[in-house]
Amino acid sequence: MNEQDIRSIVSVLTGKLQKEGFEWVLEEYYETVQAGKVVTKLAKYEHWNEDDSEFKVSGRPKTVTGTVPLSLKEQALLLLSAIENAIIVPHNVIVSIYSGLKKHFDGNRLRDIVFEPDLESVEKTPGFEDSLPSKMRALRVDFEVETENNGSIKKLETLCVQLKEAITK
Amino acid sequence: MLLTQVQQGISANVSYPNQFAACDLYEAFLLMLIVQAATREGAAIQFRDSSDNVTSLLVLRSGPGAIYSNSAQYSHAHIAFAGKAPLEAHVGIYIAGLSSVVHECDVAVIGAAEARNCRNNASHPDRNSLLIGVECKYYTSSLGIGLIRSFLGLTDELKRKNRFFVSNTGGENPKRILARHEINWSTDLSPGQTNEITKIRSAFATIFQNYKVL
Repeated sequence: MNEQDIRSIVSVLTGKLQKEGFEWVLEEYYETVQAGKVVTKLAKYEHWNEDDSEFKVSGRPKTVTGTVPLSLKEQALLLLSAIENAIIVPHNVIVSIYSGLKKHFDGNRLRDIVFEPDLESVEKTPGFEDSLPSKMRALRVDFEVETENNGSIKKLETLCVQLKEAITK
Repeated sequence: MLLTQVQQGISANVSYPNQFAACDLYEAFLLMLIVQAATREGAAIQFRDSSDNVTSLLVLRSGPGAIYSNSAQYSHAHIAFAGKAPLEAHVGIYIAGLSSVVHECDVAVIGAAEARNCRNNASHPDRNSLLIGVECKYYTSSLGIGLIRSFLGLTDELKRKNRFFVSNTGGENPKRILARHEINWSTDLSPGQTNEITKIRSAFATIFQNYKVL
């Protein structure tokens, strides 16, 4: 796949994520791209030579650490991994929790997980829930509804793998 | 064509477009692995609520909270090994550290006696009662070094033995730091990663195995 095609994939997918409310995914993605990747290499090292009063290369090359930008291909692959981690892995986590915990509930009747913030110390005025930041809101995950999405998630998973392969070629 | 299909797939699966939801789920996943490890070591498991009654609901903390909080009937796993004092596994509770400052422990296994006393006295469990402590990080791209630095500081407060740092995604640098500091860690832990799951679950099981005989 040529650079222009890869650039187009990155552009389209970042636009899609933004449109669908995945700004948090983009934030982490751009932070990672901005940080670049750490590489180690052998470098010649200069030392101060008192006899000649100048810096001169001497001794064995030294292993040094630097940071380089991610290639366009690496950026595209990172973005697809981010999509997998934002959509596919959480689904698989839910399915795994259900499968691992249901036997500990009477008659395997585990229907959902509810995540409730501890708001005991928060003043609860009428309608206060609407003013809470998203991380302080309750979340209910219905196992049956999630399981119904298995096919759709599996399809997206396959597509992401195929697109990664196409980018890598 | 492929790109269009991926876009459609994203649109069709916007279930939890929220970082905090993914983190909460990941903590529940680790609770599940601890329960599995205890079960494999022969423990009897019951899920109980804040009043210590057996429950058919799974209600977990979203974000940190006090073990004695009454804002919801939070669930915990009651872990009982024959002839041993029972344990409890919780998600997102505060633990009192070395300096008496409280720290969030994403997944904690503590003695059931300590847990009961804390619920009765409105106090946080002490770090000495923390049998297993797991720091969970769920990130979509990669893990920042700052998170590892924080965790290393946390282990000074909550002890280092039987403390774990787990994440779904890592990178070379976090791995190097964790390995250098001899921390129990996994930076590739998610449902598809069978080897990582086996390693972490075995590490939990070994702690339970020792608990049974000591």
